[in-house]
Amino acid sequence: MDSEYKFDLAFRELVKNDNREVPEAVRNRVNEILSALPMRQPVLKKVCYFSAAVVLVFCCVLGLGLISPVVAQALKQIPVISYVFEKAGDSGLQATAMEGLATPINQTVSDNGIKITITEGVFDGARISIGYVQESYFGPMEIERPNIWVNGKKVNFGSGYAGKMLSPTKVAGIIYLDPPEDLPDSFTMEMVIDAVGIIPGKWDFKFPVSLGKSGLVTEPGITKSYKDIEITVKKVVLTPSTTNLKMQIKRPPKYYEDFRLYDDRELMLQNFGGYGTSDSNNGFETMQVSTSFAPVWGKPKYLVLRPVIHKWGEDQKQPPSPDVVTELTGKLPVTINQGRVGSLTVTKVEYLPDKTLVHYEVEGSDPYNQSWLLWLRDGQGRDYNINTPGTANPKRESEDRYAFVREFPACEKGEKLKAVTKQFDGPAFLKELEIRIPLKW
Amino acid sequence: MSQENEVRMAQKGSKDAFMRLIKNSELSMYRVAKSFLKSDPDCADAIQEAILKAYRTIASLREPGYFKTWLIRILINECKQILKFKNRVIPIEDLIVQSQQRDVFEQAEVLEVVDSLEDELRTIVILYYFEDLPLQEVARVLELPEGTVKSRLSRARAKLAELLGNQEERGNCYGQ
Repeated sequence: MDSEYKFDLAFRELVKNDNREVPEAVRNRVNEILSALPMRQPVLKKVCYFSAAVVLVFCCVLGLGLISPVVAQALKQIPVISYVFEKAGDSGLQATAMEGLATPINQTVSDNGIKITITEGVFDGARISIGYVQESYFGPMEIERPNIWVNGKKVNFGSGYAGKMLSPTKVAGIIYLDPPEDLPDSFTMEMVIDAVGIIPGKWDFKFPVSLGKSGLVTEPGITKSYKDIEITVKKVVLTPSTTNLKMQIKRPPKYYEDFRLYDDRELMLQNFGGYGTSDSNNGFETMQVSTSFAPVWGKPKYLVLRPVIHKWGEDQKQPPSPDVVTELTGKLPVTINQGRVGSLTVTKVEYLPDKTLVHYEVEGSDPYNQSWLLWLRDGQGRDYNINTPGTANPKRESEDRYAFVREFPACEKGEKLKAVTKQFDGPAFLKELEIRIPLKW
Repeated sequence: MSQENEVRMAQKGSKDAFMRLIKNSELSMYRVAKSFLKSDPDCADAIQEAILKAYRTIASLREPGYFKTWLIRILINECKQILKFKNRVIPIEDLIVQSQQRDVFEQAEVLEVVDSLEDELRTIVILYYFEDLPLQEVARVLELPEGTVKSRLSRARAKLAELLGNQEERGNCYGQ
């Protein structure tokens, strides 16, 4: 064994000197597949059981399949029809559902043991959002990117997804579609899903789509550049459920970017994700990107886009940050330092029979990422984080400050709960690339 | 941000976080793929398929700390699929060419020596020494009992010591 130990020491020294690199052809294939990956909305894995009365109504609706327009209109009056938008949608879709802007679709197709029901939809000019419920004894699986036909012609859409487990065999979700520029205001959409997880099949839906209540459209055409990076905001569409930006980005492939968007009160609009295509030429990538943010409040005079530019490999050089653990059993509010990015203040903890609600506010340069980095630890050292059934995403509670509430599994009132978070630096903005977008209402 | 946080962000839907994880694992993926598949195009195919599968299923990864092991396991499955499809056997001529080349070079690169190992030993060496996975993780990735991995590692050490010892002798001859 001693000789094996010595061999290991010597061989590991040799291995350290191995300077093999990934061949350019292989690296290009990796970059190619990464660029082609569709953008994703957050996937919510928590288990959430809704009350018996709601279950009854919802199941009756699902059982109807294709329904007459009269029934559809009547069903529109029932709040539960927008259940999927309210429960699984982002804050923009939740607002859409509350305002009754979603249109019921209610089509069900079963194949290979998986039943998919398209429940409702909305098209606001910037994106098409389609609510669905998936039921399967295989357990919830991800829906493959659908094939879409518009008035009988196949069309490419960017797409993203979000999902919420309703039970071990049922998940409610939203399919987000980023429409191409030349889509008519009204059309018939056929959507075919050909796989759910590893199960192939055919789930074919056809329904009419009409442009709903939309908002402001502006084409600022503003370009900012810094060194070898150039960003152009081509179009901005403001709707009740989303703020959508269409941009062109030109830069070398050694960089990648993400965006923060602020209104005229310097309040950040949550980023819902986006979709992009890219073209490589002469060592530069030209990307056409469509990114959606939360809807604006009121009628801001302008928006400010702040890109964050990263260099591949730089982030990995940072050492891992340890947990910051703070007792919650003492007097509240309690403020927790999250490092250079800012701080988080827990204002209230509610011990309810079926859940624990933690109310908190964040201050800092990256409020939404800060708000995600909060979970609970109980007296036995068990963590309740996003992977724990019963833990929800943070929900914003106030329009004019970053106040959130987060749902965790039920705990005993006497439980010695601790808040856990991390410290991080927050985004480094390049002032030269900041773009102010004026809005004329 | 730590890798675990990146994994959590990717699980929450951040494509950017997923891309960073993959770029950080690019060299590891290439080394592991190369230990199974000889040609770079085949390695690229396996890596692409593994990336797609990982993107689709990352939400199902229970322990973010095991991301690398999980990714390598997906990749190895893809490599095996490609081998199965191609019914690949390394032609004996390739092995002869490799040993002739070692006669020409003054000092063999470690990876060439490792490449000359039989398949089942080569992959274990890559995972244990190059990817620095602990024995239990190597066993988990390859879906083998830990005892089997230990005994193959012992055989690999003996073989490597012999081959590297021979290389040193040849190097000394050229040095004269």
